[in-house]
Amino acid sequence: MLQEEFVPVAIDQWYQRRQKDPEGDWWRKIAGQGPRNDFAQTTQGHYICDASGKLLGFNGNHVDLQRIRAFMEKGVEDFDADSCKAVTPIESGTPDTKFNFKPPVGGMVVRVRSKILDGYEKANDAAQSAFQNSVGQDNLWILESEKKALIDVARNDGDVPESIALRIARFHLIDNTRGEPPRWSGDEVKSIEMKVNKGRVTGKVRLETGNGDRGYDCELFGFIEASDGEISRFDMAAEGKFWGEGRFTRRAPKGKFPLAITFQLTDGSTAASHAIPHGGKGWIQGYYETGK
Amino acid sequence: MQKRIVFGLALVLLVASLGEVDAQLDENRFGELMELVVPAEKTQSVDWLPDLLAAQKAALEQGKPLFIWSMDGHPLGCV
Repeated sequence: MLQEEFVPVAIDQWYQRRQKDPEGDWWRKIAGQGPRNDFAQTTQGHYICDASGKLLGFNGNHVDLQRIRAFMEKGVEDFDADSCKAVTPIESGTPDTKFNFKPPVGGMVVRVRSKILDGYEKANDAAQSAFQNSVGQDNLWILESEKKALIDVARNDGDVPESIALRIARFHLIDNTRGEPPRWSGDEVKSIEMKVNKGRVTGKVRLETGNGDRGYDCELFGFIEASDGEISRFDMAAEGKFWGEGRFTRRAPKGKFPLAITFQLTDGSTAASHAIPHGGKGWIQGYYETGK
Repeated sequence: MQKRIVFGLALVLLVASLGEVDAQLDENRFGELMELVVPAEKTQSVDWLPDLLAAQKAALEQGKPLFIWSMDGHPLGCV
C-alpha cells in the first residue's frame, strides 16, 4: 500500500527543521500544521501531506500496524489530486551546506547493521518482541583518499588505514538497536587491531567508558578485496560482548550481552546510502577527522 | 583437607573461565552472522526517497500524496 498509494520519503527531521533553504522551509510548513510545531524540539512522526504541503494526517511514532494502516487509508481518502493541479515543483535553490551532507564523491558507502543476539528477558507482547529483535542500521562513509589507501592495503596486506579503523571503532561499533546511541570518545578506544592479510580482515577492538558502565569487547572477521582500482568487496562482521546503554538506548539487556555488527559494501545508489552516518550528525567533518 | 579445598577452588575457577570463552569469529561464524543480520533489515523493501523536494516533485508527477517517515536519526540509518 505504501509504495502503491504514496510517495514514501524518509528523513531525519533533525536536519530539515534546522535547514535554512527551500527544503527546510517546506518541512516547517508541513510540520507546522501538526502538533509538533516547535522547531526547537523534535518534529518526528509519520506525516501524510499533498504536494502543496497541506497536512492530511499525523500519526506520531506509533508502530501498531493496524493503526498505521488506518492512518494511511484515511490519508488516501482525504487526498484530492485535483487540488494540486496548480502546484509546481519547489526549486531546491541553494541547499544549506551546514546540514546537507552527501555520500563522499569517489569514496565508498558501507552498510552497517547491528543485532543483539541474546540476553533480553522474555518479551511481554509483540511490540516488545519486535523491539528486541530489531536491527540497527547505519552507513560507514569512506573518503576517496581513504579508499585509495585501503586498496593499497587490500593488494599488499597490512593494517586497515588508521582513520578508517578509528571511525569504525568510535562510530560504528555501537549498540544502535534501540535508538540513537552514544558514540565512543577517543580515550574510550582501549585497543584496536584491524589487519588485512590475503584479502581477509581480522582484528580485535576493546572499547570502554572511563567508569566502566558501557563497553564492547569484540573480534572482527571479514573480507576486503580490490580489483580494477576499486574495492570490490568489503564484508566484515564484529561479534563480542557489549554492556551498558545510553540516554536514548534504554532497556538494554542486563549485564554483558552478545552483539553482532556487520559491514557490507553498497553501490551507493539507494536512498539508504544517503542516510548520513550517525557519527557525523551535524558535523560530518568531525566524523571524517576521527583520529585528529 | 586443605589440598582438597585448593583443588576444588582451582576446578571452580577453571570451569568459570572456560565458560567465558566464546566461539572464535572465523569464516564459518562470519557467514552465520551475515545470514542472520543482513536479511533482517526490512526498511529497504520500500523505495524510500531521501529528499523532501524530490518527493514533492514525484508526488506531483504521480498524482499521489506523500507519506513522510520523519525521525530523530534517519529511519534508513541510525535512529
